[in-house]
Amino acid sequence: MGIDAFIAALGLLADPWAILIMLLATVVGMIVGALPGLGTVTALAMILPFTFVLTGPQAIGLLLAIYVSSVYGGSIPAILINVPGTPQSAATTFDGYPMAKAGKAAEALGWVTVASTIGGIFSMIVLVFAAPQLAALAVQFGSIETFALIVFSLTTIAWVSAGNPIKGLLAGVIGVILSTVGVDELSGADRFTFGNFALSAGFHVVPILIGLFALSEVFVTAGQGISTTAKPIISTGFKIARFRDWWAMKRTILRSSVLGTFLGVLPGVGATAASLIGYAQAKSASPNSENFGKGEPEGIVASESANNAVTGGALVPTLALGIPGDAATAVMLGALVIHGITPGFQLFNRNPDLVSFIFVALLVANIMMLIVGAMMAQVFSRVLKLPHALVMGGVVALSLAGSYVIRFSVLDVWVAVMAGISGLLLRYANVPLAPIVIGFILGTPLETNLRQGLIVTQMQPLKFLESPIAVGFFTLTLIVVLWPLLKRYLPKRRTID
Amino acid sequence: MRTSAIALIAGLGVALSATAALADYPESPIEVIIPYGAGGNSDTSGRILINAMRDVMGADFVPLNVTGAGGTVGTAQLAGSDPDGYTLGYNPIATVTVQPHLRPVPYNNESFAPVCMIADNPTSVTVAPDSPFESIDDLIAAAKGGENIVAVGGAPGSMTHITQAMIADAYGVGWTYLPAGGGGRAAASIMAGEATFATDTSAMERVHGLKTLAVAGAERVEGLEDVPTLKEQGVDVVSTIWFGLFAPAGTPDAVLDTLSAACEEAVQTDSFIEGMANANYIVRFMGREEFGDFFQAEYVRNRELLPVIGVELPAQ
Repeated sequence: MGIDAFIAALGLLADPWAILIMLLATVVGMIVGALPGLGTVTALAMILPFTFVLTGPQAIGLLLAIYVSSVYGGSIPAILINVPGTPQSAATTFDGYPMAKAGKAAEALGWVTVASTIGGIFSMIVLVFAAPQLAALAVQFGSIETFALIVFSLTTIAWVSAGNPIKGLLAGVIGVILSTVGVDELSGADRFTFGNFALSAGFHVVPILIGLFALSEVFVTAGQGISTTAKPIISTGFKIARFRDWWAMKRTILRSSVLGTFLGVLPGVGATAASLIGYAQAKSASPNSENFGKGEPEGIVASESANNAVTGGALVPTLALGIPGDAATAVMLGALVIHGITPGFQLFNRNPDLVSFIFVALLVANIMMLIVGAMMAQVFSRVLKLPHALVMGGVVALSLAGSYVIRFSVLDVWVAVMAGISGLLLRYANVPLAPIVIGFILGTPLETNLRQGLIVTQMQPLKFLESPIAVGFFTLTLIVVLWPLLKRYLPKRRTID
Repeated sequence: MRTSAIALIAGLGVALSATAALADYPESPIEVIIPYGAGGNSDTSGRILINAMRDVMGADFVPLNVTGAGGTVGTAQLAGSDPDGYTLGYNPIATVTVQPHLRPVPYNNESFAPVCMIADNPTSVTVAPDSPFESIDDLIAAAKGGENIVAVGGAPGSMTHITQAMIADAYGVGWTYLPAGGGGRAAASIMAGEATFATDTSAMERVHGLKTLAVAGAERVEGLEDVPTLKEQGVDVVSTIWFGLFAPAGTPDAVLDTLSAACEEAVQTDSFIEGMANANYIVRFMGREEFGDFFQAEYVRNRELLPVIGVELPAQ
């Protein structure tokens, strides 16, 4: 991006209305993101009609602000009440909620807000400098390459299995099996619907997530009685950690930001998996590994910088190829088209000013998210001052309502309740819950891409090895899977030496 | 006392509004079920129509994305709604005229009262920009010569799927079908070198830079004047993807007339025309009566066509 284009883009932003609209959108996006069941796609779809009365740049600014802030907004209830507002923030509950329970909500909110901003700005910078190149890379990913990438992503289940790989694997398989319910998109056949038409749409990730994480937590708390839930001193508000503490996490932030951006660019994986993978990778690499899940700031930083880094990444194929990276960018694409902008291979050549405007607006949206997030945290965190029983009642109401609004289906409410009861039982059996979600999210793209790859190679799986990218991911997978075995031998050799 | 008075008035209001519903239609927001996710083809054009209808009628229209199972979940919800004019559906051809012949869905052609048709896009045969194929004959010759040809499109029962089956049937050739998804996903498969050609709408060239070999419309398409139709090439394959507004069967005629008239006005507004052009849609309007007959004819045509071109789904 040239300096001229940059200045032109700043000029478009000089419109005070554009700034005001983006500020409002940041607030709205954050609130909608924080409400379980609504999420990024709903926030964008809700705001879409309002863009028709705006100019092109105002509309783009509005949508980008909503996109960025709603991804962040999901982390607020994840920390405060253990309900991920959006699926993208599922991994934030693992350490965010324990922190809040230990009375460090303000610190947790500080960590996520800054981490989200860093992740978002990192991916925006990547978008500025490498969008066409990354788009060219994304094009290389056919079904075989995507399949290999997802196989590799599934290895993260090992890291979030809390030292019990067999139970983790079992949980992952449960997730994959749940993902097969409904109409099979490749053959059109109904699977596991038992003649029930409502089931032909399959399960949605939100009720499963809400049931497993939020409702089961409520059930556990209810089982514990009041005495054990006595509250520690509560910090409300917003506290940013010292620079020294941030600097200590530079590797985690960088790793999650790169991971989020990369997984955003490529098809098939998405922001929810990106944050879970970012979390799992941080856990595997961190010296504080054993603190993960007990309120370790590094865990929420890993999750939130990854999911916000997806924003810039997912915009790469959306803008440069006209192929949306996820459901949220699909809505953005539709909105751009309605405003007379056709993303696709010609956008960067034909509309360089517009592209630079998008970059600048994305930067502004991320900075606004930081400011508004810091202010909103003061308000939101007061929820912790309410009596615990009241909060838990609110969690149940929000969870059930959130499960319903996602598709206006009563079935989804039942799915959430069933997932909550199953989550409770699995907690008692010490089965980790995160692998279920990873398996569920990656199950469908895993199966679809495998079968598409087999169709393309005419049922010869060995032909998968003709793709160098696929071979690369398969090798990485093997290394990760065999690493524990190898590690056992390595120290032995050293002692022999 | 005061609360009971308010309750009484409210109750009376509800009772009165039920009888006066027709005279004052619409007096509350009208929900329009879009059976696909936000951002997809159906969603974009549906929202453009909804905005225009909102302006024309001065009434509130609310789009509702009810997704799943190839659009049949939202369509089933429309079929089961109260026929009071406050729930409508925006559907593309396949959800209402193809899916009922392929899988057990809780609706058929008797479940709907067509309101108006607003767009009709011919499909086209597109290949990678650097593909050696320059015409449909090249492609067919390669297929006959035993080359590995992969057609890409949406899930079974989608119009892209049916179109490639019609072409294969007309030319008497066979190839592999890859159900990867419509539009962008199909283009991605072609660019990744997995698929040879797509049979999506004629906008594939403009949006994704693919090369169009032939158009499956009744006549040539604006912007692709040099590209022949399949009919010109001597095979009788016409396959278009149309979009229309539907109400549940049993909706009062007066309401349908009001909506159809408003739809006719809406498609002539500047914002609608401009929006549809930007989104690469070819506007084609049909009012209530004409669209009703057309819909029934399409329903029957597709029922008879599917076994002929060999499109069937596994036994349920």
